[in-house]
Amino acid sequence: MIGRVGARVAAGSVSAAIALVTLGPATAHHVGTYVPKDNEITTNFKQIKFSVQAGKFDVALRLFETGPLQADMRARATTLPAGLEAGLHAALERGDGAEVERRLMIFFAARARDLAREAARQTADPTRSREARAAIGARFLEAIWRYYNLVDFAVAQRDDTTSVAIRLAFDEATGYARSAAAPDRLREPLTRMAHVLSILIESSTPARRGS
Amino acid sequence: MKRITCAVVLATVAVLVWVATPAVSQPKVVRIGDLGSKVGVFEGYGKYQTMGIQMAVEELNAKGGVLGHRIEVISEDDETKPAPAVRKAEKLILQDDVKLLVGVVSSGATMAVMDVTKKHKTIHWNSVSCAEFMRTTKFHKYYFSNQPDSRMQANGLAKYIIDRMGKRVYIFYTDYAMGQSDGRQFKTALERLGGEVVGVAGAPLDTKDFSPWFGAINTANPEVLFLAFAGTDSLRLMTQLHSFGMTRKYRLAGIDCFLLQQDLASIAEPMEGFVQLNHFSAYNPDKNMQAFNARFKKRFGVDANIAAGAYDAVHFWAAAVEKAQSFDPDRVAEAHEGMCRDDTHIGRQCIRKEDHQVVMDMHLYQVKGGKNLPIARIAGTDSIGEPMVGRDPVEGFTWEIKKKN
Repeated sequence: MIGRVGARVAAGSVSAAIALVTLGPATAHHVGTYVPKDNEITTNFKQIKFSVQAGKFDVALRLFETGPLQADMRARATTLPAGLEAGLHAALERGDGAEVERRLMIFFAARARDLAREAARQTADPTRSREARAAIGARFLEAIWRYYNLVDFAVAQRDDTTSVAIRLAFDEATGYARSAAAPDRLREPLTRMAHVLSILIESSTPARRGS
Repeated sequence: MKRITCAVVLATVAVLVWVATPAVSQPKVVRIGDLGSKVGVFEGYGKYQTMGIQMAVEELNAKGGVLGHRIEVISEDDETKPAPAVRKAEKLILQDDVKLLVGVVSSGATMAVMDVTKKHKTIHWNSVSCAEFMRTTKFHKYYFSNQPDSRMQANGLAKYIIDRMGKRVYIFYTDYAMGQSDGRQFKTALERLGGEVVGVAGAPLDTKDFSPWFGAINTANPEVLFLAFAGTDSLRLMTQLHSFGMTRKYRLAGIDCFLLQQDLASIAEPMEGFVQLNHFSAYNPDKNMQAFNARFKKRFGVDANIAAGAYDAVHFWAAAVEKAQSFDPDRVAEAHEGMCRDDTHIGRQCIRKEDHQVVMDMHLYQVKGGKNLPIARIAGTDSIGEPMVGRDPVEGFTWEIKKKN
């Protein structure tokens, strides 16, 4: 399923042959070398992640219980797979690092998916100017990458085709967002990103796990 | 009075013994720093670097550590950016007092960290970054590398291409620092060995459609297409070359920075037959690599990747400390020079005195079914090139095409 998405991404990438976007050195970067500034949620995630990697699950649990990540998870519970937070809490309690990683991956993938959907909606708004839509797209892409980049490696380990598909779509959308001439094209890669992430979330959340 | 004096003396001795006891009973500790990309797209390198270091430290500590000191690892995330890399390197050196710093992943960040390790006289091993300037213009006496840089890779690859793939080569590169560096190193090596560059073209970074360049490539009619791209540009380029039938028409080659290893399987079909050079692959039947990979897999449950060179970096450093009988950076740096080890993850390796680059055999791999399979071995002595410390490695370079009769 995800493999087919990847193939479609590849074809889409070729068909999007029109926009030849060149960048100045100041904005030059490859996807992967660019890392957006942390916010309180991503900072909390890194604290938890590094504590888990060090085998300090008690510290990770405390950081989760008292940090903004859990609060954000609760605030967005309706858009997340059922029981995601409770399952993460339980995994931290029993010291199950792999399960902690899986659930955090799902959470940030869902965060990125929701942002991609909203970005696709707002950048297609005909009442806004092209410049405004390009600027909105750029801001959303920054936010999407801030969350997705955190879990790309976990995604790649499970299914590298998904990881490649997201990076290509992000890269394509970033090019369009930098050009006020191309905001109309933003919708396609953003929608593709949301679709691929939805499949990832679905396939990583088997019903039998009750999560 | 005498009794009181005696009691006071005894009590004082007892207190001194009590105070001193914990210090005596606790093992001495030496810290080493592990700096790299621990979150994000390049986590695949930063994480494996950590595992390589961890494995070496466990082996060393099981044998009593180094100079009687138990080794402790402190890991830091450099966020794949020069500024945080510098900040974390300073933290590791000044606050944690690390005697060895291993890292980092991105070449830009590595070069920034080199300024810190030079300033604070700290032994610095690089096992991942491959820019050409680290052992030339940026070199300092505390810096060592067991990652073949772009010059080594270009030398090795050029020799193989001329011998086995074809002499007429078209160089297509991404037109910014990384692509220019790989392209010019390869052009220099190829022309020196008698190959013919039939065309060069640079595509701006972030090009979405590469097809405007395909006509020029086809007109030049090369036997081999050398590609110097990275990241998503590589993914997009390969996809487009494939859809235009050019992956079947030409033999394709590039250095290892072309593609993240974890991406290979997802782009297996366009990459089929692609030749690239590197020093390690979990699929290489070489007995040293297999033995190392088996231990790595047993310890961590996954195959090792190129970042596992960090394992050897720690062993080299520990051997140098033992040889120097000191943690003094000047003495340890000198003890490194010329050192050879037979039991590294890829067999015998020696550190060249002049530029601290490890002379290491490399292997050419061809992508088959999404895996890097070995097709040839290049002797380290054939690819390392002359030492160029302090010299501009691209001085006098020109992209001009030299037509052959």
